[in-house]
Amino acid sequence: MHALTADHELVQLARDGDERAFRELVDRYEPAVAAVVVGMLGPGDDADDVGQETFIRFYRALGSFRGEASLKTYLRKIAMNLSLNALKRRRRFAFRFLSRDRAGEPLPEPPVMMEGDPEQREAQARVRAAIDRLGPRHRPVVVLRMMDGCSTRETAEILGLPEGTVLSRLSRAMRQLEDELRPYVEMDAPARTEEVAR
Amino acid sequence: MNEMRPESPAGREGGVEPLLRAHRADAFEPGFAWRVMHRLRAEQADPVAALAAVVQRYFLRLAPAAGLATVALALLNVRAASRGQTALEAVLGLPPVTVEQAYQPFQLEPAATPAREGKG
Repeated sequence: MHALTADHELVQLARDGDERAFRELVDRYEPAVAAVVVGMLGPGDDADDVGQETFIRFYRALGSFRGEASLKTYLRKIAMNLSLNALKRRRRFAFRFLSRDRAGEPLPEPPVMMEGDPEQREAQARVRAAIDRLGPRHRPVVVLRMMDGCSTRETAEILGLPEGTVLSRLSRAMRQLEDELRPYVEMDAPARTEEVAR
Repeated sequence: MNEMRPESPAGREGGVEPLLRAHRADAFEPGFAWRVMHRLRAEQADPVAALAAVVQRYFLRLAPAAGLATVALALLNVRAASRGQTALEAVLGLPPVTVEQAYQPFQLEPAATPAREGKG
């Protein structure tokens, strides 16, 4: 029933207390929120928790949501802010409970079973580790712009930054990622060439 | 997404962009929507959490007024203190208390005692 309903109608229905309408919004925007949160934090319980919190915050803000920004952008903004807070908490935890030698390193996420062959799994793990090594200023830009496919303008709007800053941070982050992932990029290149030829 | 991306190594063949795109997550663990709705219902049923949500929602609206009220009260107190009386004492009409008065021995009002004795 709700599948074809427009966002603003679903928001209005949810505001009036229609649970099914809100659930439809959750189903509709789970991919967008997951892309941001899992991109920022990696897969795991932490990300799931932040994803849930994103929709809870949205529910609380239904009364004040005026629809000036698109719902997707609005949810991505909440998801990004909550993910950055979660990253800060992780760092505080690392600082307090890990030895000083390891305090600067990103906290490893619990291992998550990934699908695919071992080589693909290893490449995925390397990509994740490389993203985790990006600092809090560069990671959001890479997640939104390169992984989630947002435009530069949208990325700037979500992060509250000028477009020029987004571009410069992205350039620096991509250079770092290229250095770290070079072997995998080279490994992946023949497969892509075949894909293009097809 | 058709805009030019001079900053992106995707422009150069063999960049990391396809690897990053392949790493994009499209969903949380199965049952995510159910978990959100469950948490929402639990939160609505919990009065403390509901109160916290209300405070959070109205905080930005109430904070400036509360801040102004605090500053006004502080100014009033400073002004009243220079006159030897706090704002609260002025409002309640309380006489200023000195240290000597505070250390005087406690006495009942002299008028009250004979009147009661007379009746008895």
